Amino acid sequence: MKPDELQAQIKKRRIAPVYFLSGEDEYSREEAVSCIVDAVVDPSDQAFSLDLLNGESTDASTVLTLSATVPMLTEKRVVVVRSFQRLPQKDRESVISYAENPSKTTCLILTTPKVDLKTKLYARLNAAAESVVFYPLNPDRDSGRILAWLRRRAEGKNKRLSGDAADSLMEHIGGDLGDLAREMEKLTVYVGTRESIDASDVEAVMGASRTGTVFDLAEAIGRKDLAGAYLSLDRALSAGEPPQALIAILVRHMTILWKIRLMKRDKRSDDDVKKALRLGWGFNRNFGKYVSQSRLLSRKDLTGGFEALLQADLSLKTSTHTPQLIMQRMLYEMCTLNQS
Amino acid sequence: MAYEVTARRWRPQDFESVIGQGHVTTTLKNAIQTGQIAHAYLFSGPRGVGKTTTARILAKALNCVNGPTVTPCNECSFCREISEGRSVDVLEIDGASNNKVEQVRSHLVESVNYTPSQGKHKIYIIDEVHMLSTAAFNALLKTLEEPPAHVYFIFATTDPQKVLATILSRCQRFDFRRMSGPTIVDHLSVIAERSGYTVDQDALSILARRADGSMRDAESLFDQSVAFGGTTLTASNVAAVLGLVEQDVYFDLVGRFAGGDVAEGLKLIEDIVHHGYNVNEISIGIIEHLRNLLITKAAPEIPDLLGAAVVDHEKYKSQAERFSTDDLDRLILLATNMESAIKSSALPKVQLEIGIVRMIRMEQSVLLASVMQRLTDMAAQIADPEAMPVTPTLTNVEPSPTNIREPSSQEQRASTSPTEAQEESTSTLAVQQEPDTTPSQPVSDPEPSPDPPQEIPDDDGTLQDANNTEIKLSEQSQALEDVVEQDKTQQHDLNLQVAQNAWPTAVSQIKEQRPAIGSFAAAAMVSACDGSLITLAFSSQHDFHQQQADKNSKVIEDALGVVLGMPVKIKITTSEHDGEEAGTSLLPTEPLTEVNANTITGQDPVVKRFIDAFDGKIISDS
Repeated sequence: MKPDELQAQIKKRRIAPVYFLSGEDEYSREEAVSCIVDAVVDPSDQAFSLDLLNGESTDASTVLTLSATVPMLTEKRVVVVRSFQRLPQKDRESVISYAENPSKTTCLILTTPKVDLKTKLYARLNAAAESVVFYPLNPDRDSGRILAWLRRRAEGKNKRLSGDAADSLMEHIGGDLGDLAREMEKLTVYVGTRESIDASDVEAVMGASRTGTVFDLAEAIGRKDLAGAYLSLDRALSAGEPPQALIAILVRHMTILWKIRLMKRDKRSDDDVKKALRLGWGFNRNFGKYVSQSRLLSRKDLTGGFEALLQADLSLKTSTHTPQLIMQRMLYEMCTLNQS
Repeated sequence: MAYEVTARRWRPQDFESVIGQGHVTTTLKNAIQTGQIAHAYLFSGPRGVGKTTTARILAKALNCVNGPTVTPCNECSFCREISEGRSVDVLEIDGASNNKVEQVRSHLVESVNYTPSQGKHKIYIIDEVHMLSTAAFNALLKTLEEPPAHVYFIFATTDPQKVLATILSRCQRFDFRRMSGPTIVDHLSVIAERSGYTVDQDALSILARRADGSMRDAESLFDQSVAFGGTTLTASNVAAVLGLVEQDVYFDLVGRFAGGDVAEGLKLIEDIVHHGYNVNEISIGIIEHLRNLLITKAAPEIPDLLGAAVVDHEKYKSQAERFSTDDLDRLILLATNMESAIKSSALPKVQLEIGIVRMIRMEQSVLLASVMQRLTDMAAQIADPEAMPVTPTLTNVEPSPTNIREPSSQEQRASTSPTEAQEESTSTLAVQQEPDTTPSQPVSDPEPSPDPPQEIPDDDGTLQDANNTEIKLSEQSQALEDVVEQDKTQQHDLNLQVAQNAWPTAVSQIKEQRPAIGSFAAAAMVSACDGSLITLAFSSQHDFHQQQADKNSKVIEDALGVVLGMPVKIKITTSEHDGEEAGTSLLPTEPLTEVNANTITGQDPVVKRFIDAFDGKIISDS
């Protein structure tokens, strides 16, 4: 079953006796648990009819006893076992045997992070329970879904999230819905009574985006504008950006530029380049900028740039000099490549 | 009243007074106003930027008699108790000293379910939360998952990466930012003004620089300085308290770099060290000063890049004018190498002196193009007798070494358009003379005769010497070409020799910084030198060394460049004459693998014991 189908079933109050919720997207998994619990037991009755267990600190007998307990005041009970994979093998087998023949008055929810569903044990559970896998969202692949999710989330708080703000949030955080939810929470509080959330709000709360910084730096390097490069570096470091991270994103950025440069030399179309690189949403959105920067930076800029980046990376890891000094020397070398 | 340090006396008591963290205080105020207060907050950021202070203000805002309010009164008993750290409902726990699971259980988990005794909420502030053990985190996790409605958690940490992801995901996280230099200076100015102190901006700038973004550090340093200098705070007082060399001294010292005055430079260093300043501090100061000059040179229109620490921007500008950016970069490289050497040396002062001498003797870069241009001009002058001086000799039309250095690379670049500069960059090269080891020859400086004959241009295009001997212009040009050719050969030999002489020093420098690369490089020998291209040859038995050196050629180039005082490129090859050249690498000679039995006499005690033990005898294999 897919997460959306699960939501639809819950809305229709079709509750299965056993759920097996797995996958790395912890936020969506926990959201699903909350939905099931709220659908089965009224919040006011949860003190009596809801048991929360953890695989690390429980055993099969406790799980089975609680699952066999008759509900009081409610139609059904809910037993949630988080980190089910932490139960010993024998205990897991006992619980799976129960799942094959469950009590009709209990809803047992078993959750785990990513597990191999092809193993004998989990294949049995997969067949016996309503199994849902929550895969993490990837901003490059699932950007549309994430943006829609963010907008829904904002609307739920009576806020309007601008396209730029959503993009900026995704650039900062990626596709982790838990992190996005927390930052959205913070943003909605930050803007107070104002209805709209703009990119400037995201920047105020989270600092300048890395994409902006890397474009600024590459632009300055291409134009041999040492002052501009120093200014961008200063801004990034002041905003708390770790120098190592700056080097990593510059390496990625310059690799992309080099690839574009080579493909454009072979007269390949924009669509062709986009398809070949498959860098997803963030890349496609800024494709024009990438292409113009690939023209700006010469081959020597790129090869020499990689050398300078490597040296700076090594220096950051091995020398005692301040990161600021190392980064400034790196930019100096990159900006004077064609001039020495 | 007992003395209270500035950091405590001026600790912010409400959200409005928190400096430099607007993104946090705005969100917290809005959260209080709209009732969207999270049950757990994580405040992360460097030390001394207001994490614990904000946590206390939030606690007061929640528990104030008027609360929850964004403006705690600071007068009610709850506020006062929190300010004084004696509130029974606000528990401040030091995570570093209460990091065991038992301590977390007794302080927190077991008490969390009890309602607050006086205030409205029970607030747990755990400082340095990253110091908790994993078991302690897990014990905390259960409480954090489902906290009672009356409980709020505020965690503060300087190292959020060490906090368990499961804890992070249950907190609303705020990243506190490092304070900027101007922010610190402004705040210290306010404190000084309200305290009735007289301060100069230079003094505050030094404090801000040393505080490195931490307001608490800045305030502590401010206290130290006030204790030393009384109510008047000057830059020299602050420098004396902090053990810093005054900025003027660096201006003086770097002025020597430009002037090439080794003796004066060393005397200055001697004076500074004599006054008890730390050698490492001096080297760091030099690096910072050079870095400021480079930034001033590269970005004169953005003085903010220098930070609040630099007040006299004009002074930097004027000193930066004396260097090209290339030279400043090379000076920084020399200074950073010097700093590394100082740290690892048993004789730091000697390393400082060596570094200073190198920096003073480092000559300015000259584009080869400028040298070529002079040659062309000379040829043109010879071809056009009208343009020649009245008494032209080969020696006096040549530029002196000083003249060759005159147009710096910066000037040269300024005289050409960017495109031209780029085009010519392929044929240009930084030329450097090393006066100590190889007094450089002017490019076409012939052997001057003790009494050179005076040559006078004649009307028909010939030159006539003092004895009226006619010398055809073509012959003169040929002579010039010969001299240039001869000199080129001399320079070539000279450079090879210099490169070979410099190689052991370069290897030892590489070994100091990158021991592994140094060992690989030691297997090479300098086999050729063509301009700035130095060929390093490895014997075939050192092919691994060769590969590694090839991979790290930039490090070797840099080290050679520093020793030679000019940017160089290296070419790595395999030696064609293994047998002959193997001994010239810097690797230790191979240990003897075979013991020549003839050299060992039966008198050797070890050999004797072997013979006794195994009933052996010495035989010769030859």
